[in-house]
Amino acid sequence: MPGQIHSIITKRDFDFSNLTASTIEIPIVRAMDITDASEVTLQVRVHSRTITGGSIQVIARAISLTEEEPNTDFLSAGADLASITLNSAAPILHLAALATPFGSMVRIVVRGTGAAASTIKANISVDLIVRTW
Amino acid sequence: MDACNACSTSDGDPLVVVPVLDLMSFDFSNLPAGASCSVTLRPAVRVADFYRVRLLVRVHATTMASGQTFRFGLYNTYPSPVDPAKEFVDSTGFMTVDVTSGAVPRLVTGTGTDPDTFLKVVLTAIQGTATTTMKATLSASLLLRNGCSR
Repeated sequence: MPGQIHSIITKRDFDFSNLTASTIEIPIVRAMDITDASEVTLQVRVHSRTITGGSIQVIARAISLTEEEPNTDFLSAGADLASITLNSAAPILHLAALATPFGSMVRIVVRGTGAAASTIKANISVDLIVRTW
Repeated sequence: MDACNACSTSDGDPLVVVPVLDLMSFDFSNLPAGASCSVTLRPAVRVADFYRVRLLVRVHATTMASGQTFRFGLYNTYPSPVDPAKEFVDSTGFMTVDVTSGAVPRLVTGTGTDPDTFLKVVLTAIQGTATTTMKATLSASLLLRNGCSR
């Protein structure tokens, strides 16, 4: 079963401490082509984590881009393909398989949900493991 | 090749364009008034071979109000291969480029000189005095070169 690991982001900080009760999503890859994939796994390494309230999630969503309208993101209105909540002490590895059908492209976002007077930050790196058979 | 009288570089000196942000739409509308949120776009872009650094930001679309800012910050950094878990960053910024409300599409640029070995690229969204819609579709590159501004 051939496979490849695609680095989505190298280790870096995400800090949502300034949110109070709101939610913000930061895209970390706009659209990665997974046309040939039979199975895709989202892999998140949590290098450090300080979350005293609120939450941080890493989410995969189906997206499609077209050369006929290259500046437009065609995002699926369906459920997220995968979601990982950073709810365990670091260092730790989180894995989640992308639900099928996952289409031809995937977007990865980091979602921060705030809480009053809370520290909400983590240092993470993210990969996609793409297998074909 | 002609040499520059000011800096002695020649027309053949290298010029490199490093993409630091592919076209991406950001929505920081939920940021509380006066708050900011940062995301690291590139932890360490090697710039050791270059003297001049120009950041080119394409502003494809915005829905912004006066007082809101998308700030691209460049920081000198020097990763250590023997201690890769730590980040060695000069907290004094190397340069910044601000994207504020205005006509689109447009190009926003800034130039810095004499960087250290690596640059960290950070995007910070700064909400205005009220929580209002703050969206932007942006892309950005670093233009690295030597010599003077000819």
